[in-house]
Amino acid sequence: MTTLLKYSEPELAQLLKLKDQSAFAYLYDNYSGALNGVIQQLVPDQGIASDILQDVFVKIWRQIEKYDATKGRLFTWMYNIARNTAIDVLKSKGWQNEQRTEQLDDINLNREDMTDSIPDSSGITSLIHHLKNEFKEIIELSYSQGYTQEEISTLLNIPLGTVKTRMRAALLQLRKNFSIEK
Amino acid sequence: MNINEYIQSGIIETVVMGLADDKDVAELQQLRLQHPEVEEYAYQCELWLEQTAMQQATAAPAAGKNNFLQAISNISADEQGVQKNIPAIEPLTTTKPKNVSIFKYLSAAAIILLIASAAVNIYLYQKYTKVNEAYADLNNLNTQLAQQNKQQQTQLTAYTKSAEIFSSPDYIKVPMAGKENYTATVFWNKKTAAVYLVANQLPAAPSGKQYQLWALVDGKPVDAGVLQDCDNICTAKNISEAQAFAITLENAGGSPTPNLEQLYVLGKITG
Repeated sequence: MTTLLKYSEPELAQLLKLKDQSAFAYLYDNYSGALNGVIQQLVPDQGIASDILQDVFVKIWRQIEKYDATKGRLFTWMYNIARNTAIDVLKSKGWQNEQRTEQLDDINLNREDMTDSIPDSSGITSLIHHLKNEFKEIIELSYSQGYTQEEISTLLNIPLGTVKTRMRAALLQLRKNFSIEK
Repeated sequence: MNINEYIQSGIIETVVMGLADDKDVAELQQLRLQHPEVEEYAYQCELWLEQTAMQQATAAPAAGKNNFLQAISNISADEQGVQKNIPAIEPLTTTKPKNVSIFKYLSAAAIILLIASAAVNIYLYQKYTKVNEAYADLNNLNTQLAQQNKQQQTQLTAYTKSAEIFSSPDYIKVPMAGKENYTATVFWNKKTAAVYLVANQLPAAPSGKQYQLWALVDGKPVDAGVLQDCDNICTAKNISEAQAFAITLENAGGSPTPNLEQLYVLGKITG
């Protein structure tokens, strides 16, 4: 993976919108690793993660006309596509039946154990592990498992406002920690 | 809204990391356009997200890039062709023929029923017409029979009446005879003055003419009525006194005095 920037972001976005083949090759070279990492944090299985990554790049190619630079950076847009695609897989029936019910049972029966039992992986997930318990729980459910704020509010029986406040505080903490680590 | 508080609240991080709800996302978009400090903070946050992701990158599978480029060139080729992408809507096209075929069967069944119904209608109409004709025939026949019956009743009544008259002792039989063997008979009841006539042998009256019966009372003719079409026995006018009866041929409707040149039959009362 090359880190040499050939294009500025506006230039790249412009070429992508023209469906320029080499621009997409460049995009893959530069961002497939980062997006793969985002996906794997949600779906650790490499085989499934690879399929999702492929799906994500095809979506980027199909939907690039919809990208609006005034609303944010290109990477943020792609990150959200990757995240949402991975969460859709997580929430799909087959996946839930196989993997997720066990975790849900854990959450309901023994939340403390659940957060402790998260395997120590890289980056944000490992940082989540170092958050305060009340933050950890919410970030785990939202960031790692794709629950919406409203779902978390129902699941943990906490007011939506409290979920939002805790989540915001947790993310501030997370960002601060990560910056220090860097 | 206090912008500094907003910036420091962590909302922007939530939105950038894709964890916020739609309301928060829309609000940030709005505020980024209105407040440069929000835009700056959000931009830095987005940079942080990208840098973090870059640091946490894991190598994509080796074949991934070629697969992807192959996939998009295939899709491009398909879309440049006659929009072959349409088969992507397979669930619809597989269910659609089902509906169409059900509709086909239904309409075929409806047409068959319609034809069958029309055939039955035609058959029944023909049958109805035949029965109706037969009914009309029977009705006519019935009317004919009724008329015949009435005629026969009338005849029977007449015959009964004749038989009474012929056999009654109160009636005087007055046979009348004339030229060329013409004969007729009058039955006269002297008590009741009733007069009946039987034309035994008289030629049919020519058109415009009628036979008229006369009673001769003291040598003078008295009108006793014209002969209408009557069965067997004709009823004449009442005559209380007479010495003889005669029949002449007169103009239709009868005459006040008899035309003696046209005298057909004459009979005197005996006894």
